[in-house]
Amino acid sequence: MSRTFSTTLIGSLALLAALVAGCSSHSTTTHHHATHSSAPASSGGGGGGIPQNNGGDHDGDNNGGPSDGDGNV
Amino acid sequence: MWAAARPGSTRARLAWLVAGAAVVISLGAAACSASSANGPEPTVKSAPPVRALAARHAPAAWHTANLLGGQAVLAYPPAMHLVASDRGTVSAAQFTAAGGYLIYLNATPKQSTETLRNWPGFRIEHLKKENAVTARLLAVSRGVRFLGGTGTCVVDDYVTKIKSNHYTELACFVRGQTTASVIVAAAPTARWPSASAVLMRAVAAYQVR
Repeated sequence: MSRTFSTTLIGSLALLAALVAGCSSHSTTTHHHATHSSAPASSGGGGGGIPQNNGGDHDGDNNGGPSDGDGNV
Repeated sequence: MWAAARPGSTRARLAWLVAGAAVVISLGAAACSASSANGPEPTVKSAPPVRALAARHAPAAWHTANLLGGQAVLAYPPAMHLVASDRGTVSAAQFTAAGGYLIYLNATPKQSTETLRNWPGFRIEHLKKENAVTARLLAVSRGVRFLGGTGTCVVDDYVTKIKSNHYTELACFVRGQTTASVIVAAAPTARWPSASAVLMRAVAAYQVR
């Protein structure tokens, strides 16, 4: 394998890695809490959102009730 | 210009590098765009439309509740009453004597990346991620007219992670002139056939601005 080709390959792989990383960061759902100041951050939910089983904001949907329209919880 | 570069020369290496980078960037951008632009859209293409949704003002006897800042108005029948919900949101419910849900309404300002376009996939994925062990899309309608806006609506059913309760819901993402919000109308799946009429009436009366 020529040095030129090696250089190209390494450069391309680095670019691909950077693109994949950037792509992932955009497509992952953001879990910001715009109107949920009461939500504790460390109650052991494990899923990134407010914990189930009456955790977090004690919403009905954390207790087996219907889901609300919240984009986060 | 490129043909003039001698193999092994600096110019030739640069040409290889630029060509390789262009190909990688094109492929990466295409893949990235396809996967993230509109979010996941599971089984959307096969879902039938949501029936009998037409914007109508609520009956005079119904109550109303304003979403934070007057972004929207949720109308609910007298048999329902307001219940606690997240700050900035409005929920109303009617319960059985034993305390179980009969019907449920919720209005919430847009809080995440939901859009008119990605709403069906967004809602199903959200249910699975946060509330449900299973969630199934049953119907989808786009361009639904609301009082003051336009929405994308889904009917779906799901089983909650907690207590394994089965619910069916009509959930719409609604965009007004200056605001965007979500209205959810739900009932236990077993009660949906009898509950859906009043819930759809409440969704039809949802007013945004």
